[in-house]
Amino acid sequence: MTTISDIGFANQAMLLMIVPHGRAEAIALYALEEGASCATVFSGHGTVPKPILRMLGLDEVRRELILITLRKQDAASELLHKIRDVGHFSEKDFGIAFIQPLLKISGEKDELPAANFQFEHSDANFRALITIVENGEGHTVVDIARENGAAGATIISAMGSADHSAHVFDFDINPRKDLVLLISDKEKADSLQEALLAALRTSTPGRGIIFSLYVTETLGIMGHENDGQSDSGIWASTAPSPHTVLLVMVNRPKTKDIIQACETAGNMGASIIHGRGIRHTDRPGGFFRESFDIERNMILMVIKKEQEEEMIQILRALDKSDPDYALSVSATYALDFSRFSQTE
Amino acid sequence: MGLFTEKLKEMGASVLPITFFVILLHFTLTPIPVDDFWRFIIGAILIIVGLGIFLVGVDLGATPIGELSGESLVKMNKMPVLLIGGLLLGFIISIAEPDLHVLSVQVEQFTANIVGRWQMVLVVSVGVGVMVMVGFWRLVKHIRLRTVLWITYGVILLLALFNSPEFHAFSFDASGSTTGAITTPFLLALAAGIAGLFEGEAEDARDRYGMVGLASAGAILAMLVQGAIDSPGSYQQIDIVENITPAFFMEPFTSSLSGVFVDSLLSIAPLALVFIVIQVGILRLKRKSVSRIMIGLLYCYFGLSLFMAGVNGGFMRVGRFIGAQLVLEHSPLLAVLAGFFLGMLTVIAEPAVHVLTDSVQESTGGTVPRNLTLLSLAIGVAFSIVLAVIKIYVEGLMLWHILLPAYILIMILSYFTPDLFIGVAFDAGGVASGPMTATFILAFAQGASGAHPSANVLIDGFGVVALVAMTPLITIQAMGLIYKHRQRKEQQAAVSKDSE
Repeated sequence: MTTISDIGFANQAMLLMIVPHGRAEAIALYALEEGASCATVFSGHGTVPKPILRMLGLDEVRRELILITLRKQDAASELLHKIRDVGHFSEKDFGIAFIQPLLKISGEKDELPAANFQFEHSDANFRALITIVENGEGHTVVDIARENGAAGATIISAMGSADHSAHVFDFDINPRKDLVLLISDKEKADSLQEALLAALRTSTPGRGIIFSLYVTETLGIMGHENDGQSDSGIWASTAPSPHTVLLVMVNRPKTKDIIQACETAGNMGASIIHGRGIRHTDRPGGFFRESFDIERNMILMVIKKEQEEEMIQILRALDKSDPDYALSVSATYALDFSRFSQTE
Repeated sequence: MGLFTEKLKEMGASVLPITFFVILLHFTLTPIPVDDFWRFIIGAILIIVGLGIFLVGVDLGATPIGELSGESLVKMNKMPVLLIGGLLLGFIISIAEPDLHVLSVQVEQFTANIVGRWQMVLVVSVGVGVMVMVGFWRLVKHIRLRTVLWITYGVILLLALFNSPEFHAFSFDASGSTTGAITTPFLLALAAGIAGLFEGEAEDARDRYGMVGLASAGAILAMLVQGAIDSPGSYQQIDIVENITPAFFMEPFTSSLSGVFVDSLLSIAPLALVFIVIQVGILRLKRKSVSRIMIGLLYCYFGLSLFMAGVNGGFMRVGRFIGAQLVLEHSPLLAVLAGFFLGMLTVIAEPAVHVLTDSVQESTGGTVPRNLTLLSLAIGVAFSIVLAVIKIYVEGLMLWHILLPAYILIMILSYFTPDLFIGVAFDAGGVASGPMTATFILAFAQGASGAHPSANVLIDGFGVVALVAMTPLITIQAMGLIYKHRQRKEQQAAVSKDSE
């Protein structure tokens, strides 16, 4: 059954869906039935743009994110269509979904170059704009984005990797972060990024980053009629960005090892998001659900293109050393990567 | 109104089971007088709406205040500040807890003023403060919860030897009374704020839990010390409130209303105070965030008031009536069975239960679903009411006859249970013994013991809260053990599949 997706390094597309709280389970299980081998679910918050609700403090709605990585881009597209066709996205304002192409990661050492987009897809009309800021500032980001014409955004709580310079009671602490995800067309994404950078500029280092990702296919985006249609086109022949974003899924108890290994390789900051992995199991029937879930963390790192190969080799070596890691590694271009702090 | 509708639906699902069960009892075993029946229905509606508003308020107000104060205390990075902060926080939230005041008035009467009302409230609050301090200390020193619990309960066992059976009941009841509707979410958030700082790369969310359990243990410790130092030799019988016929239909609601609004204000006040102090002293949040938190506290206040009005006006009389009727008119077996379901369904409507079960779901990334925690908790409380009813029928069965073996079992279990679930279990004990138990279940038990010739209303009345706070420690730990077993099996299966 592991034909169309994989826990490992061989995936080439990522399907991400943002749905109302409590609805992820059914969709994830459907995706597993359709052949995906693992889905990871995270929780987040959406905001409703109504001033009255806002005044009453009632403008937040709980959301769930489902992330599925797939071996082939057309498999992702097919899966998304199937999910839509069985009616999961038919309710009004149900949620959004998008597909993101991934870089091909080399099969074995000394094989292909470290990374290459395998699919000649899309100068992609759409972007996923990702902003990572201090805890509590997620709302500010959403406000600024709204003022500049964004329809909606999802805030996800994350942890920064430990700041080794600031010990508290002799232990490292993890700063809390907000990750804000919003989808918009390319032009708007650019202007939003500019607006956010202008509004949140700071001289304090480590206050946050912003970048965007290619999106090849979307579903449920407000005001966009081409739902479920793929953009087609060709990647620019040269690398469009000097930065790569690495998404590493790992069993939660092993998170620290991964962070440490990446730090040794020179990566200075990562964001950690807690979630659960829903895997295909031959034994149905948990207590209240059809699958038995395990705690998974997503580690998000933006690295320089040059670091990519070394980083992936390290992760691969770790994964081979112990099956308990169950790593799933995805890489894609981080477009227009910037930091909010001027000094960095 | 997404958030409210969502909460209201959820609360409907939590309060309707107990409502339907009472309606079922009404049509089968214990026909309720018609006025009381309709009061009960009005009470249920008030509880649903009140709970909904209250829980929105907890999310917006109580939880952020708890998290922020825990976080900022630790970030100051000074041990004396942290310890004194913990002591003060524990002390002021406990001293304002209405349930504790109700209990201490009863104890004062029962001991003929030997244990005075304020004396007991102060003693218990100091105990809670000390244990919150210990909880803080353990979190920053990264000491395992079970080590602290073993020592604490070891001391409790020793002290219990120097106390009379009556005092055992006061002490263990005090533990349930200190952890009320608003205290519990606040303590949970306090621990979560601290644990969150260290938890990014941690194995699991274990350090988020255990603070409520430690605070409860603090209340027991303090009362036992008090009892060992000057134990009253004799106790006197006092009158328990009987079901007096109300002058008019809405009287039970209106007469409790002013008390309810004052009590709720008392519960909320410490949180507002804490927030003002940290906001002015350390945080300096933006105006938007401050108003959000203030609105949250306001929701907490009105929600809790409505909830309490519903419970006091509509549920208490029915609880007492059902308890009495079951004992008078039916066989012990039926009474035990009814107690089982009553306990099981009542705890689902307990406000803090939702805060805890949601928190567990959230902090485990959803791998421990809230319904699973809720079910374990409900089964636990069901058995506690069974024990309470059995205790009414069996003459000479003392509270410690049940508590001693149970707590020994709990300590043995905690050697095997994964750390996360130890914390959740001990917190669940405090959570289960909230306002719903302190009123509805207690009224049920008092009604039942009042109707049984050999039972003593007071002795059997006291101790019910203690039982409710004890049984979840067993069932939640059992859940943890099953979970661990299952997880191991799944992982083995996954590994063998991958290597194929």
